[in-house]
Amino acid sequence: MLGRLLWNAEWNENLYLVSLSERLLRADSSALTKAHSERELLLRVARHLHRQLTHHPHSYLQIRLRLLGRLGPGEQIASSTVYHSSPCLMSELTKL
Amino acid sequence: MTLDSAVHVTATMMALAFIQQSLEHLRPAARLTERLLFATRLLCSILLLAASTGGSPLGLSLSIPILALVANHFVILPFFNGPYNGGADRMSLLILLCLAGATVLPVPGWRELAFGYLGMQLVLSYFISGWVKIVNPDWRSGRALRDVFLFSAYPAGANLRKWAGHPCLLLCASWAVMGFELVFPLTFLSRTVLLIALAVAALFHGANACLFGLNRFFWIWICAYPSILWLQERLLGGN
Repeated sequence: MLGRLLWNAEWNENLYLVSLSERLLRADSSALTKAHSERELLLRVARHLHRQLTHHPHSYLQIRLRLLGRLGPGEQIASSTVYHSSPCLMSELTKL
Repeated sequence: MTLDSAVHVTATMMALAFIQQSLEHLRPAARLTERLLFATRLLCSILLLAASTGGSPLGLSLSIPILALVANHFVILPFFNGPYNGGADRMSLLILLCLAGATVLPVPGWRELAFGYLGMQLVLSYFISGWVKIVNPDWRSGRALRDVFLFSAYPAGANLRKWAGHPCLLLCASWAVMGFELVFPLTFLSRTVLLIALAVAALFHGANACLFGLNRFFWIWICAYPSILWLQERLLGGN
């Protein structure tokens, strides 16, 4: 736990992904902000997935974003899909 | 504490905090552009550390690495389209700009104003945070803190979630946090009380870092502490 005071890169990256998702969903975000947020989310998720793969992804492999929102104030976590991106080619995203 | 010594201590602490932040961005999972931006930041921070501790072989003044860091920060901001790490990045920029003012401005009074502004912003950061909480019914009832423990995705252990089942404890903790943040400006009136309050605040940030993974907030917030200690001494003579 104390070591994470000095190094918590993955968690900070997760926090940034949450920030990007919030920017993407916020009604008052500009079109530019939404476009940047979606692109950054796709790039970062694709790069993460690419590093998990044990073999080179096929050229036709695609990913898409699906963001879930929490419903209601209750203690039970219920969620609904609040955002769906278009599918994107992994090979295009991981080149960047 | 003189302005010069307070500025040097702040610059040293900020350089160390920036080194920590930059290293996190150099991990292999980050894109090349991101790593290049933060490799530059790392280099400038090391130069600032050397200049602030008197270890610079080139006899570098503080202002050069600080201005380089400001320029670097304004390239990083559009890369992330805003802050990467929310409030921690905002505080980083505030400290950086105030240090730039305190080292670059030509008139001594202006330099004092720039550094004093940082101290006042630190006071406001706690007070406004307390105000935002106390006007929120969920914080007054303890529900907000319970939700933090209940829904936090940070893997600090299953024991953390059990705290959500102690509403009385969380109600007390909520009011303790709000009370501390709201009375923080009053601690400015006494040197001893201010020192105690800063120690408590640092512990609070440390707990947030350990329990919720907000490590950058801990390192960057304590960087602003010398400014408030200097300001208190400057305005009230350190009483």
